[in-house]
Amino acid sequence: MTLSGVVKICLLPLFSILAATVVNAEPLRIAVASNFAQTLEQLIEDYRQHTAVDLVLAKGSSGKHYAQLQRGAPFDLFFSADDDFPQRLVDAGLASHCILYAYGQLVLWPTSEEISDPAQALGQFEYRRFAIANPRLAPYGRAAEQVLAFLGVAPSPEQLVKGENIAQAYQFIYTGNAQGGLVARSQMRTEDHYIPVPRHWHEPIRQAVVIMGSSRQPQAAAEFINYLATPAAERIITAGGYLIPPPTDHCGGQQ
Amino acid sequence: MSALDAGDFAALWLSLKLAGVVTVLLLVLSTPIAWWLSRSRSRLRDPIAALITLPLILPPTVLGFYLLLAMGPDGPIGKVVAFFGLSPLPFSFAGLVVGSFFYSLPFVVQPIQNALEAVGQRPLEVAATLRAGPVDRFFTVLLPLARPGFVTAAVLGFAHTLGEFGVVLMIGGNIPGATQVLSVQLYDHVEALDYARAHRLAALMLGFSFAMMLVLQWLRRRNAATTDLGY
Repeated sequence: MTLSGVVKICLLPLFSILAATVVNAEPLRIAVASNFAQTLEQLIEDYRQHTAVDLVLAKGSSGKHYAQLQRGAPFDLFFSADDDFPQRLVDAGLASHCILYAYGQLVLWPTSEEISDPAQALGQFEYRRFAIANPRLAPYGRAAEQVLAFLGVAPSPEQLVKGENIAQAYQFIYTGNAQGGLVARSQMRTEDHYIPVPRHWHEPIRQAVVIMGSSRQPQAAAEFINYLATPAAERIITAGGYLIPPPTDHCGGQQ
Repeated sequence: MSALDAGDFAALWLSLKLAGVVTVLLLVLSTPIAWWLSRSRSRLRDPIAALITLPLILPPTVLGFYLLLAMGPDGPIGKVVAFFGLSPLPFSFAGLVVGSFFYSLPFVVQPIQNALEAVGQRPLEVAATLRAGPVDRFFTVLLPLARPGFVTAAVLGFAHTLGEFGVVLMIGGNIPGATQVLSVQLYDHVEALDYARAHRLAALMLGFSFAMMLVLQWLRRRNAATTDLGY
């Protein structure tokens, strides 16, 4: 090895330490349920116009995040697709500040132009394959199951195809393999024909966020959560296809 | 270890059935493919060999997504299936067979191809001078000489299909008794935080896979001792 090579290698750690102090803070690390990732990215974009905090996202299913967070995955915030996983983390003393940030909305998709009543389309149920998220794994799947039960629709096991998550349910319909399904409003593009499912047909899809106890910057994390309640943030969340939870509702259900 | 429940048993049975059907299909169809690959001097040989090897590299979910598109009503496979008046492949056992076939193809073609290449032309030429016909040469000369390759291919094809996950997840739709195979059931248990049931299935699969690989080693050793490929 040449002398200059040795010098470079010795200086490398020094440079990285310097670089770290210039950027000053570590980024806030956020584990987010896939369905909310896109909206969260828009929120972050808006948030960064006012602050210098860096935020990095890890997208995945809430169940996987939960299993990893239980075992010390290094995240500051966890945006779950439900309020059950966050509540469990709080109960286990691993997290705090469980707050509802959005209600997920279900839509029936696709629908023809002349149909405006989802009860009618679901009542006839002329689907060879109907896609929902797996109710055992996904909150949107549980809500979809409640909708079918509410309407007294009982598809045969062969008719009901279940995606691992709501993204896969969407994919089954998008590829034309399922003729319809109950998916998330946040997934719909402007050109899609869909009908929102009335809210009282299922339990609210309570999406909650917590601050992880292992966070080294709980203050910055709390500030970002406070930002979510601002009108600007609520506009972005609503535009993303979500509802703003009423103040009477809390993490873990109505109290 | 306590007993598996009915759903787990159905998934286990379905996985075994799928692996069995796919293995038989693979052995039958891979033999001519491997033969052609081992003998052909065509310019198409290398691209086709590369194509068959692709599932080794592609993430199974990518393969599954393309299969979902291809099998869909607007996809090429979907159109062929519809032309023959058959029911669409996605979310059906037949669909899993087709998906698994492509996914496990390299694991079966390659050992057979290697074995055929190892046998070479000479034993077949000798057999031909003794007036053995092509069919005779295949069954009484080539097959016995290349047997270790076929055994390896069968075990690898079976084991690989049994453990398949990504492709099934993408084209299966998780229908009990039709597409809810062992690996998907196991994944569901893990995701639903039902770790006890997940452990039982995982232990079963681990034990089974180990036993199968052990048998493969044993067969290889026995074949090496009994077949004389050292000419």
